[in-house]
Amino acid sequence: MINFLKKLYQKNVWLPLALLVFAIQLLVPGYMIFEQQQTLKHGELYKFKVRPIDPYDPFRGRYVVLSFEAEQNHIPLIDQDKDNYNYKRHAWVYANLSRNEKGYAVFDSVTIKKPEGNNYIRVKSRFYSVNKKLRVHIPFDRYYAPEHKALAIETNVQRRSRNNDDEVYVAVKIRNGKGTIEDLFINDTPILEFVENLRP
Amino acid sequence: MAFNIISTTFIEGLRRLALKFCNLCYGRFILTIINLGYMDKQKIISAEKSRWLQSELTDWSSQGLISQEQSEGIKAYYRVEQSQGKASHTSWTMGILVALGALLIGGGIIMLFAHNWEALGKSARTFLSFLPLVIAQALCLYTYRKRFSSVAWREASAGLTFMAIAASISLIGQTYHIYGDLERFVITWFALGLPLAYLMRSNLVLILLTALVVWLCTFQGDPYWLLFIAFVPLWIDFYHNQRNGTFYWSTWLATFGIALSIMLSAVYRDSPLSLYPIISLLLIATAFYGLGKSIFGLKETGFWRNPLTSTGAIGIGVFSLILSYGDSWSWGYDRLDLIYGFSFYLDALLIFVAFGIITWVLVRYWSRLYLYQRLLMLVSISAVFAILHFAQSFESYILLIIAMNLFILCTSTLIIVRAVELNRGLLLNAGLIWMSCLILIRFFDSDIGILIKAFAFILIGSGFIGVNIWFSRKHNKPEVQNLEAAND
Repeated sequence: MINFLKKLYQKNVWLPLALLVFAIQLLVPGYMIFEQQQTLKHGELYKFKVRPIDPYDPFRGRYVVLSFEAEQNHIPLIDQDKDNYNYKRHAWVYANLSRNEKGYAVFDSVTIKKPEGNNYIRVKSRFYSVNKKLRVHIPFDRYYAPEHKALAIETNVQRRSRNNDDEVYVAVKIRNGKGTIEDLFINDTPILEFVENLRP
Repeated sequence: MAFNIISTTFIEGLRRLALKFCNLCYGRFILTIINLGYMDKQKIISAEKSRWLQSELTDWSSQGLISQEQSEGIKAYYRVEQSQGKASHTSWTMGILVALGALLIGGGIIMLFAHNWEALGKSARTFLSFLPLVIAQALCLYTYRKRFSSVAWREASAGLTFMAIAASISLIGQTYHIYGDLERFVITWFALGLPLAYLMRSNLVLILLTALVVWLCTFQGDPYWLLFIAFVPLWIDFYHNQRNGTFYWSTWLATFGIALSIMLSAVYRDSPLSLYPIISLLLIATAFYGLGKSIFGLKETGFWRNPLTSTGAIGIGVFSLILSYGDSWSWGYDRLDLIYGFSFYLDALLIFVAFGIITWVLVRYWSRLYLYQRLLMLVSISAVFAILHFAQSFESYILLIIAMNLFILCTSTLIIVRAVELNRGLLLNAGLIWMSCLILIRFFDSDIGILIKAFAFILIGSGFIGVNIWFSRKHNKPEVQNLEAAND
């Protein structure tokens, strides 16, 4: 190993290795972008009703934490999983999606194994109740906002999500169990537009 | 009353030690000068000492104490240490400053991104997230080509690239509203940043990686401290080829980081280490102490230049003081629901590794270690009692508490004695602080019954006097001989 380190700094070893490392350093963020773009392009669109709050992340700045209406209920396990389920908190499970009469996303059932098709997302298990029902946590729970607009978004969304006349939701593209947020809407207006229009 | 007697004894002891100190310095000096003619090898001293000697020699020859020839002879006998030469000194100091600057710039870029420039649109932000990374990487390539011998260039370009990785991942997360899984983010950062330390020989990146490992260990998950193993080859290489100021910095921080992350990853679950946290820490400190002695050499090269031994010594001092106090032996989790998984066996293995290191160092260097150094390492035996307690075959701690008090008393006395002999102020102070902390704690410790307290005090007092008498009897003889030889 030490001999290897001596050789490492020779030109014919260092350069290819460094270029490889630099390429990987670029490829990892590159892949992250690619994955998100693929989801946005080919994913299935679902609308999730929300009520948010506003914290801060030292690396990524202000964001609005989204809590979803679909998360509020206990969801039954599918029949074949009911007997062999070992509950573990914060473990990944899969929730099957459908739309209610208003067109918002709801969870039908939870499975341990990855389902077929495109109508499911990977969620984290939260609580388990005696009647074999599970409460889950949806992972895409952050909407990053510009510093000066985060507070306005928070107050507006909070007030309007309590008011039944206003419809507050996020549009999410779902693909292979992973979701990417397209945008946050109040009455079909993108949130940033909505907040800007409020200003005199 | 008891306090008065002890303090008088203490002050008297100090006075005698001070006297002895002066005698010794003088005696040693005369002896050195007498022996000059018989030695042909040059002695290596630090630049600071050399400057002092230089000024004194000028003074002595002008006072007529020694002739010009003798002065030259003495000068020729000493050689200034090479690694602490002035050129390398300024080089790494500048390295630290430039690296700090790079770190601030990197942090600034992250905050600039965190501001969220929503007006720019997705493609512009995607481009922006790669820009700092590509620039920093280009800087690394330039450094390799033209400036690889400069510490400042290497540290700065590596540090910038390291920060740019985080900036890039963060901006993408922000643009696409990717959820905040901090653990995965830190792991990605670590994996992408680790090769930089090797490619650029950067101590700054090693320090930042250490911080990441400690951070990872707070996530209550897997034993992430194992990631320190990834640093070992580079560290060994630095040890042989690049032992400058930044090397000691990163080693100090890594030493603290390892102990901290081992304990952090253990306290969130039931492990053999979190059952007895203080004893485990004492064991780790002892292992560090021994490891430092065997790696950096038994010759005492100073506090700063042996991070492992110094951290270990501080740890032994602090944790033995805590363990000299009643309840601390049984602090920690109850043994209710231990999960015998991988992490459990790993932690158990760690205890045996620590014992292995300590035993190996003791066996290998026994005859070359001073008595106080042997005692400092033998205190690890106390961990055996923790294991016995875990096996429920040992119940009473009162003997252990008394033993721990006696250990601190004897060892600190021995340290003071040795420090006086070796003419080392820092060691002397360490011994004195350790001992006075013990005495202070015992006075304010109300948990021990008054009868036991009384006995303990008498024992401590007589131990103190006994050690002092033994010391003056044993160590007065060679000193007298030295002085006689000097007078001849």
